[in-house]
Amino acid sequence: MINIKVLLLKEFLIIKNSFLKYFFILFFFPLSLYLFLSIPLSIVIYDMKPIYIVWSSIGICLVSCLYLVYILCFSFCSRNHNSNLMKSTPVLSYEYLLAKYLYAIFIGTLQLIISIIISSSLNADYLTFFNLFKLYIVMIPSILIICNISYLFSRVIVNNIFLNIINLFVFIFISFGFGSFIPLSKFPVYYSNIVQYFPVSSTIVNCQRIISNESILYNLLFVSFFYVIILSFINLLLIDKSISNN
Amino acid sequence: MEASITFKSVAKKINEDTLLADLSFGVEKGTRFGIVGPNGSGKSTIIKLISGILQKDKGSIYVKGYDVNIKSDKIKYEVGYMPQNAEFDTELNVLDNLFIYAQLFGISRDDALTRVKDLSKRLDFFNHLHSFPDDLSYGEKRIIMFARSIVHNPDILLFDEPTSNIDPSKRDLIWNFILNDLKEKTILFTTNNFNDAQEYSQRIAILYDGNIKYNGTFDYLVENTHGLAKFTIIFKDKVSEQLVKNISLNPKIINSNVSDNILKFYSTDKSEYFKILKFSLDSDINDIDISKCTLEDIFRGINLNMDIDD
Repeated sequence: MINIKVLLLKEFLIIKNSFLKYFFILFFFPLSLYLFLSIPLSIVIYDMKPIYIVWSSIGICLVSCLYLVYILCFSFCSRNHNSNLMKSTPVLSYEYLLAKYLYAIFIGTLQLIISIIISSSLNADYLTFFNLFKLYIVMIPSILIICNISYLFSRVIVNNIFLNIINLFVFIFISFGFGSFIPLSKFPVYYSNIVQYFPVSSTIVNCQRIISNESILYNLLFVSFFYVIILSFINLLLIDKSISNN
Repeated sequence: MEASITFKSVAKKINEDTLLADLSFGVEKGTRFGIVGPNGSGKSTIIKLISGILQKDKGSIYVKGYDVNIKSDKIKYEVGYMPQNAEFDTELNVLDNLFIYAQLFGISRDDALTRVKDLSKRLDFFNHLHSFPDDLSYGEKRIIMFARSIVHNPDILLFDEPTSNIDPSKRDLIWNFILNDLKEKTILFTTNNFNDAQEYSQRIAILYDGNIKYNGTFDYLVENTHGLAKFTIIFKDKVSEQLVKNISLNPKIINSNVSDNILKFYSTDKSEYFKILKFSLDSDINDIDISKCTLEDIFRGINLNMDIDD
């Protein structure tokens, strides 16, 4: 457990050393999504309830939060269990996994808070504290899933050019493939039928139900947690394999 | 003597190439053991196998009596590893790099800070504690990597080419620290610097063709080369072709080298040297030299399949 604390301390020191860069990203990323996606799309997509600009605030929160978690967890993996030097330290695979999860949740929470502040102040809408709490709980499985996926990518991608292209794909998928900015109802039916059971899109569905004051779909939430368990198990095995270098 | 590190018939393939084949050797507790060998001979692989960075394909490796496959977590606490390449968290300054690394080995915050500051003063990088690794020279990075490998006070130290490509003052700093402050530790290091290996190892292993060709003290190694020595004759003019032909036909002469007016060769038999000298007296000679065999000379001999009794 001490190692988890030390691994987290290392990440916080890294954030502290580049505080301005991180602050810039945390603040301007959701703002850019609002300015360059929500506002233009609100003119195109107008037949919605709640109105698109309010509906898409969930997309802003979710996309900024998940994409940042994806990028920073990728760096976490490169710095830790993928690094040769760290393989010589007595850190265990489950300690790496737990530290990474805590780090992802911390980053995700921070970005979520900033995104909610930005979108609430710009839209002049508000969420109750209880709804915010529900939103947070619903988003945790997606944060952990993205964190796990970023590790899977970090295992296979070594080329920087390929990495940048994959990162772009991930952004496009999170933003447009799962109904964050374009409602799934605008996609062909067969596509939306498949994609709604994907963990990220089920989170979006639940988040949108929260802001519409509807009850969340617990079956989708459980499916997401099920994905987290499966992916955690795969990740643990891969980290173990990586640090023992088979 | 108690063995700190034991290799038993270890084999390792990398990309389908057999790098180590049936490798067996031991390092006694509290000794300095140097491994020399050509590039790509598997020196770094041996260190990575001990530190748990790589896994062997066959055989057994024991560190302080523990099998590295079974007790790798326990062993990692006992081992300090200095990699060949500069590996740092570049977003952290030097102090934080060492401070975090020490804590990962169970050292408390206060102790870690004290040790880092103490080492930085003794290894002359106190002024760089708040610098970032990318702002440092290669030599400074090596010193800091050396400090990092010993910051948790391990019993066994693995140094992968600790003094390669650094200036003599920094090299002396590292070796003096090893000789004075790490006397009790078991040290295994690899090097391409034969002088370092000869001077600072208590035992030397020559790694060649995936296996250890020789393992012992330098004096014993010299004895078993049957008095191998390096001979040099510097002529006033170009070395005669007849002399070159004679040398090339002489089976007792090893690795002869002619460069304009300089003739160099190795031999275990001094009488051969005198024969050549006698033959050369027809030409004008500027200088002659007989050098004691060095580790590098022996290494060259091994490359040429010279017989060394082990």
